[in-house]
Amino acid sequence: MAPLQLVPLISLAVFGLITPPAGLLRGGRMRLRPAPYLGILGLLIALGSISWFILVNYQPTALGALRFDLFTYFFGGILIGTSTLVALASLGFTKGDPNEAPYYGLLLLSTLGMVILAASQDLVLLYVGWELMSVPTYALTAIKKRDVLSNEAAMKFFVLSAMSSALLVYAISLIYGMTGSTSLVDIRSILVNIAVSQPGVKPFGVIALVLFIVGFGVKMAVVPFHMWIPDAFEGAPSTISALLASGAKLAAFAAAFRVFIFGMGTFQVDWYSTFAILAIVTMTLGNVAALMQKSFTRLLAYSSIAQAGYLLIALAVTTPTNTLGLAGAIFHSLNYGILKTATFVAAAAIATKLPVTDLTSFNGLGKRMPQTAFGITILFLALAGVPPLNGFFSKAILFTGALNSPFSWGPYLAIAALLNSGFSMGYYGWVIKRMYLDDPADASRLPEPRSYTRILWLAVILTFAIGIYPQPWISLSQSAATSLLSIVS
Amino acid sequence: MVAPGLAEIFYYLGFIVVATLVPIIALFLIVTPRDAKPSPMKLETYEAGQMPSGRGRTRFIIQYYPYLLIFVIYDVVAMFLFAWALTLRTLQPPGSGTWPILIFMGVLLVPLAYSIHLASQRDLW
Amino acid sequence: MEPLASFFGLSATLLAIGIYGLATKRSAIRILFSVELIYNAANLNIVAFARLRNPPLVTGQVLVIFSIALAAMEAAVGLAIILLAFRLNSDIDLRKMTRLKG
Repeated sequence: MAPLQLVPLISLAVFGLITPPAGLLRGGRMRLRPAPYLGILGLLIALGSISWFILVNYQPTALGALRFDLFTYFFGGILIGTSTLVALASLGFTKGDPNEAPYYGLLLLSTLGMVILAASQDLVLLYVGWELMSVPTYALTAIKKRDVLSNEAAMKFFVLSAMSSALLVYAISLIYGMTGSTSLVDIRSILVNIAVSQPGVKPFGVIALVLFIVGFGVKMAVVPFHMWIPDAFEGAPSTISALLASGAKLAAFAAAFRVFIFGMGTFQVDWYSTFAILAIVTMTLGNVAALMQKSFTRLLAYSSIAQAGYLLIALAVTTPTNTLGLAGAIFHSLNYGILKTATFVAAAAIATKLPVTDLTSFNGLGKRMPQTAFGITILFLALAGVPPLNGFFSKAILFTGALNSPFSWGPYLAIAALLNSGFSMGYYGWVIKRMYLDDPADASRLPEPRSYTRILWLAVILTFAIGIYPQPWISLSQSAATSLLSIVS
Repeated sequence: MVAPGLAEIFYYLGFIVVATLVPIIALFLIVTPRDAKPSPMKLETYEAGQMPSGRGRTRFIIQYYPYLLIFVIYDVVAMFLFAWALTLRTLQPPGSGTWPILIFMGVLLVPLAYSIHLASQRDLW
Repeated sequence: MEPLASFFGLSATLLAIGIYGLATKRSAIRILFSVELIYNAANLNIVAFARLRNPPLVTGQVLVIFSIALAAMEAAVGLAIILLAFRLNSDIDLRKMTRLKG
C-alpha cells in the first residue's frame, strides 16, 4: 500500500493521465466538458491533501528519493495553488478550443513535475522532475497551433530551456563523479571534507556549481539567461505566462534551494558572493528594463525578473546559522505566486477585450474595466511592497535576512534591494496613474469576463488576508526554512 | 576515492582550456581567413559542382510523422524493460518486480492509446 | 593515458562542440543536435564515472537510462514545435524569428 504522503502526487499523475482521453467524450448532443473539471478536481484533491498534511498530520518523512518535510509541503502547496488558479482562469479561454483536454492534462503533469522538484532529495529524481515540469510547458506555450507568435515564443523558450536541461545533466554527472552518489544527503556529508581529502577534485565542483547556476538560472530568470522571458511571456497565452512566471520559476527556486543550500552547503567555495552579485544585477536590470516597456505583458515579464532578483538574496545569504533570509524567500514565494499569477490573469482579461495591450490603451481603464483595474492596483502595490499588503512583510524578512548575514557585504545587498524596491514603484505607479488619472481615447465601458475577475478577487482577498494577519505564515515559513536544513531519515 | 589520475590538476585545466578555447578558435577560424566577397554563384546551394535546379525541398508526407514521433518516445521504454528482465531472477522476494512493471506498462499504455488515436486523425496534422 | 581521463577528455570535447553549435548555428534542427551532443557528453561522463570507480557503481547506469529516455521525450516535443514553425513560416531559422521584440 502506498504511503499516504504520495496522495498529492498520485492524484496529479492519475488525473493528468486520464484528462486528455476524457476530452474525447465531449461532443454529441450533451454539452459536456469533462476535461477541465477533471483537471481542476485533481488539483483540488492534491491541494486539499497537502493542506491536510500541513495542518493536521505533519510528520517529516523520507520515502526513498522523495522527502516530505515542511519545505516540500509549503512549496507543494504554493505550486499546486498557482496551478489551480491558472486552471480556473483558463476555463473561459479554452472554451471551444480543440486542444482543451490536452491543455489541462499537460497543466497537471507539469504541476506534478514541479512538486517532485520541490520534494526530491536525489539528483536523479530532481532531473526527472525538471524534465516533467519543462516539457509540458513547451507544448503549452505552443498550444495555439495556428498562432505565429505563440509558436515563436515556444521556439525561443524551447531552445534555451533544452540547453539548461542538458547543462544540468552535465553538472549532475560532475557531482556524481566527485562524490559517487546522487543522493543530496550523501553529497552533503561527502563534500564536508572533500577539500582536504581530495584537493584535486575541487575544481570539478566549481564547474558543476557554475553549470548548476546556468541550468537553474534559465528557469529562475537570472539576468544573463533571461532573454527568453519577455518574448515567451508575450507570445504565449497569458494564462500559460502566469504558469511560467509563477509555478515554473518557483519550482526552479525550490530545487535550487535544495541543491545549493542543502546539498552543496558544505562545499567550501564562496558561491555566496556570486549569488549576491547575480541578485543585484538581476533586480536592477529587471526594474530598469521594466520602466522602458511599452507593452503590459513585457512590463510584467521584466517585473518578474526583478522579483527573481529579490528571491536570489536567499541563496546569497543563507548559512546554517542564518535561515532568516531563506524563510523570507519562502514566504515571498507564496506572495509572489499569488500576485504574479493574478496579474497575468488580469493581463489575459484585458487582452480578451482590447485589441492591443500597449500601455496607452490603459488610459482610463479604471472607468472602463473597474474590477480589473482595482485588482491590478492592489496587486501592483503588493508587488512593490506597500505596508499593509502581503508583499511588504515577506520583503521585510528577506531584507532583514540579508542584513543579518555573516558576510561583510550583507548590508549593501539589503540596501540595493531596498533601493530597487522603491524604484520599482516608478513603473507600477505609472500604470496605476494611467488607469485612474489619464483620459481614455474611447471611454466605453467594457464587459469583464467572469472567469478572470473571480481569480482577481480571490487574489486580492488573499493579499489583504495574508497582509493583515501574516503571523502564521511567517512562523510556517520559518519552520519550513529550518526543515530544509535538517536531515530526515 | 575516485580513480587516482583524476585528482591531478592537469585534467581539469585541460577541461577548462578545451571548453573555452575550442569555440573561440573555431569562431576566429571562420572569420579571419575568409574572403568576404559573396557572389550569386557562391550563395547558391552546393550541388556537387552542378548548377542547382529547382527547389531543394520536396513535399514531406506528413501522415507517418506522428507514428515516428510515438516511436521516438516509446522505443527508449525498451531499455527499462531490459533492465527489469535482467534483474527479474535476482529480485528478493521472488516476483516482487511484477507489480511495479505492470503499473509502469499500464501508465504507459494510456498515453500510447491516446496518441495513436490522435495520430489517426488526419485533420489534426 | 588514464582511461578515465580519456573518457573525460572526449566528454569535454563533446560539451565544447555542443556549446559552440548552440552559439553559432541558426537552424533550429542544428540547435537540437547541439543540445543532444551535450546530453551525450553528460551520459558518457556518468557511465565512465560509474564503471571506472572501484568498486563499480550501478546508480550511474540507472541515471543514464533516465537521461536518455527524457532526452528522447524532449527531442520529440522540440521536433513537433519545429515542424509547426516550418508549417507557419516555411523557415526554421532562429535569427529570422523577430516578430516578438520590444
